[in-house]
Amino acid sequence: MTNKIKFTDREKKLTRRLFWRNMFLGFNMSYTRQQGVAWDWVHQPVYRDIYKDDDQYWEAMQRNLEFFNTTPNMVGTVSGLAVSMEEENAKAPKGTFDTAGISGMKIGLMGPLAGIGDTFFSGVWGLIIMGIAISFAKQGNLVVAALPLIALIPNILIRWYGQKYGYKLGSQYIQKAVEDGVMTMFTKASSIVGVTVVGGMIATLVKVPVVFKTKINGTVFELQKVLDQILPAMLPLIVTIICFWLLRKNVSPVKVLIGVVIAGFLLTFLGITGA
Amino acid sequence: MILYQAFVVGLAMAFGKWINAYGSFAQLMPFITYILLAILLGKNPAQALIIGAAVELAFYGVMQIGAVLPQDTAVGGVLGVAFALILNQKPAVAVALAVPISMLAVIVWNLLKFWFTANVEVFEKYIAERNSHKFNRLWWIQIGVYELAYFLLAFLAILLGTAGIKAFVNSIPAQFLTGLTVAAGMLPAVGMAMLLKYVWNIAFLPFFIAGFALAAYLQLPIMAISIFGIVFGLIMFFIDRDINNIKTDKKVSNSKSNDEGDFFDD
Repeated sequence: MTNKIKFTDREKKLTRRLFWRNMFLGFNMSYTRQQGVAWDWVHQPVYRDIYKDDDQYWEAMQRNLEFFNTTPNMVGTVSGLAVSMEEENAKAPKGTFDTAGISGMKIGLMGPLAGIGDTFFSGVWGLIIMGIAISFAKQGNLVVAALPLIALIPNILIRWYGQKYGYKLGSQYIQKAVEDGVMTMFTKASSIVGVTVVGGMIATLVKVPVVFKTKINGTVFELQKVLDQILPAMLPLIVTIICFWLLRKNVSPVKVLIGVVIAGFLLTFLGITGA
Repeated sequence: MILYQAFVVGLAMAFGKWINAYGSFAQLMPFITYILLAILLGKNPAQALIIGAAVELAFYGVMQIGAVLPQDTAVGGVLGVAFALILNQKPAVAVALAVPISMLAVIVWNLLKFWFTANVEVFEKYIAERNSHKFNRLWWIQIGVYELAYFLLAFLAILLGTAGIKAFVNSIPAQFLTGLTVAAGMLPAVGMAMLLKYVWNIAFLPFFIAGFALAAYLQLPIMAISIFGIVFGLIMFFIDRDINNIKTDKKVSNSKSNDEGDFFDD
């Protein structure tokens, strides 16, 4: 499929320009349109290129100021598709192309793409990369400075190839992927990676150091050792499960955060935990 | 001296907020901002990383999901690390400052977004007037104000806050600092719980237990656990694909038999 895609010089220039301008999608978000205004600013020169007719250009600008919200890293696909549809609109005789299809496509795709994007970028990739970065940074290792070179690869690839295939393959392929359930399957697989990593992170990164010690019949009783024999990292697991349970009860994250800080202080003042 | 420090922290903050929006890069590279901060302040970058690691650990898992920003980790991180570097304090102090600052700083973003929302109408008006020039001008003014707001926030916080925070930090009793260190160690639990809430499905329980056991008993590093996670994800993906194929096959064969029925009825 890859070698079938050929770009003319004009299209090459257009996609490259779109790629760089799409980096700005996260700026100037509003409550009512989210990334709507940014979408217009990003696509402005492309629309100008497509629509030689001034009326049609401003009509497109007005139409595309609508609500739009997705994971910025996933915008490439929608952007490429939308531009190819606008081109069809420009080619078709006036009034024969239904522009509602463009809006429909944008609204239909932004949700599923955000679902995958948030799960993958925030839940899986960001988690793994930050986990590695923190373990380097803890030792003051300046290698962290080079880590973004690897970390940004999926970000760039998904933006670039999403846009390329969106533009060239057209909506039926992407829509087919959504209908076939490939998207849901991929989101589910990403979630599984995320859940596994979170399980591991709880044992390695959450720390509840118990220092409580006492003498019973002459033998030293160290609470941490006893706990470790039952289940290593038991307290971090319990703390996380309590937080999770509270969040599911719709307690606000800020309250849970403050609760954890207070718990940390209380346990320390009682002499159970310590540094 | 303090004027210069306030100025460069402001610059680092503006940079941090820039990559926050530009291409969503910040999510993956807050440490770049800390290295930049240390160099500009003339401090040891390695020290900045150690302090930054403590702060990022407290923020671990707190990420912008959807349009909701629970904590402004960029503002909290830069200011927390900056105060700790300027005052030569321990990482725990940076965490103690970063967490409350990150919670308060959300107000700034909400105010900015409120203004951007009011401006949507103005953008609409410019489009109706067919004025590209004004449209672009307002766009860049908004970005300028966004950058300037965070620059000023950091600048003023360092300029006006350093003396007060120094006095505050010096008056902290030792036991309080210990409590703080313990609390900071427990904080990643909140981030983990938030991520779990976002992706949770009871069917994922076995994978959660596996990840936990791999770390707790086998003490595997994060990278190894991630690879196991990918293995689990792929296995489920292929199983799902097979199930999906069987389902669609059934549909196809059902419709075929119907066709045949129609054919014979005719």
